[in-house]
Amino acid sequence: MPAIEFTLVTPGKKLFAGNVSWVQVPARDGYMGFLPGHAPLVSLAGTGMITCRMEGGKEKIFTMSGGYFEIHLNRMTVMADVAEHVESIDLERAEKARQRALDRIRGTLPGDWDIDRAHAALLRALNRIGACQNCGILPGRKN
Amino acid sequence: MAQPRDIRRRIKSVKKTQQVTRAMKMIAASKLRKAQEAIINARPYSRKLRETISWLLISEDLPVHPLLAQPEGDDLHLIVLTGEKGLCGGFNASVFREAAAIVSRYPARVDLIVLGKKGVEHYRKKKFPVAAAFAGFDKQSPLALSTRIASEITRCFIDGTCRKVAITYTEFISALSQRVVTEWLLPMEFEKPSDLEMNLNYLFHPDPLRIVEDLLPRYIRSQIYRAILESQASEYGARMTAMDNATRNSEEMISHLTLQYNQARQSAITRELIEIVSGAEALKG
Repeated sequence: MPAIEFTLVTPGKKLFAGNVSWVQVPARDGYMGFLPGHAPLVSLAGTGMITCRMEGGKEKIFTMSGGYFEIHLNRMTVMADVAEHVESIDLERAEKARQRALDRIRGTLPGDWDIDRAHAALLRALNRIGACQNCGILPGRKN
Repeated sequence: MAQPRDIRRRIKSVKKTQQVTRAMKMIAASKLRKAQEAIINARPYSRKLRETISWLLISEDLPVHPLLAQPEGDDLHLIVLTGEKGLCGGFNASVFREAAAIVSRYPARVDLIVLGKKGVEHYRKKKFPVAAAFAGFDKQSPLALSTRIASEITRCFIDGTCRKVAITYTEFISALSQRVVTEWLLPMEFEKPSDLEMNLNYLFHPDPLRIVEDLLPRYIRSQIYRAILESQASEYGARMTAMDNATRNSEEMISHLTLQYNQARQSAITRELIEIVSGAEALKG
């Protein structure tokens, strides 16, 4: 079975390196799935979940935001600005961030902010919360 | 010969100094561990980014981007990474030496961007003009700092106030060995990828221009970020070695002084004995 050598890196850390049989990554305008033998590609990344299907069928899920990814000759690298494994998400913090972003957008929170940044923050928070829900991680759980 | 009491006092003071140097060595060692981990974790990202860009640059439909310009002229912006504190052997001195060598090679016009309190003080003392100074940079997040510096030099390069940008920093090889290096950030230079990789026809999404616009500033940022981490790890490594040497030197000094003290004490005893014996002899007389 051919596989993709998949690596997930952030400026501060290499989060994952290993063989996967399928991987789905958020591009700027929607998700892209990759199977072995994909054409060489460079693309900018958006905010969303990375799903890696390992050989054997198990799936690993990460959240990420910003950066780019690149694939050639069955070697794929995601260079994320921010990324984390779904297990290590601080759900409480994400919930707070969501609330804060919503308050900013509604204009109930005074201070120096702009709508684009608040939107981006809301998107990141929702992404984290959504990923946790998908994986059955409930609020109040201690990491 | 010195009085035994004076020697004892000196031994005490050397011991106190030794305690301080030993504590500083421990602190440096624990900070080094963290810094070392940070730099080892940061290297894969910057290496990969460099690789991607070198592939991008050979692609046929490469868009024109101001950061890819190769302007003539020698106006140089030199970023100098120094330490926040002394007591780290030749760490700061070797950075200054390297920076001075670069500056003398570009007499036309050099603007220095200095990071680290030691560097800021050094150039102030030498009355060397500094374009931008960042003291206390170890307290700031290296990511935020590198973003700030990167956007500043990018702006200067694009509007033509500088034509070359280099960064002088201390590369971390191991806790015992560090090397001062100077890397060129702008204009960009990349090695050619291998033939196999030359023949790959990359697809770009959304389009080449947007990717180049995103990746080039990101690359400069990541180079500065990595240099800051390298320099910090090196500083702790240098300090650890220096403090280790200092601790060992004071050990030597203590044993030397102890020998002196014992000799002085012995001769005092001998002298006293002679006095008593000769006193007794005199009484007998």
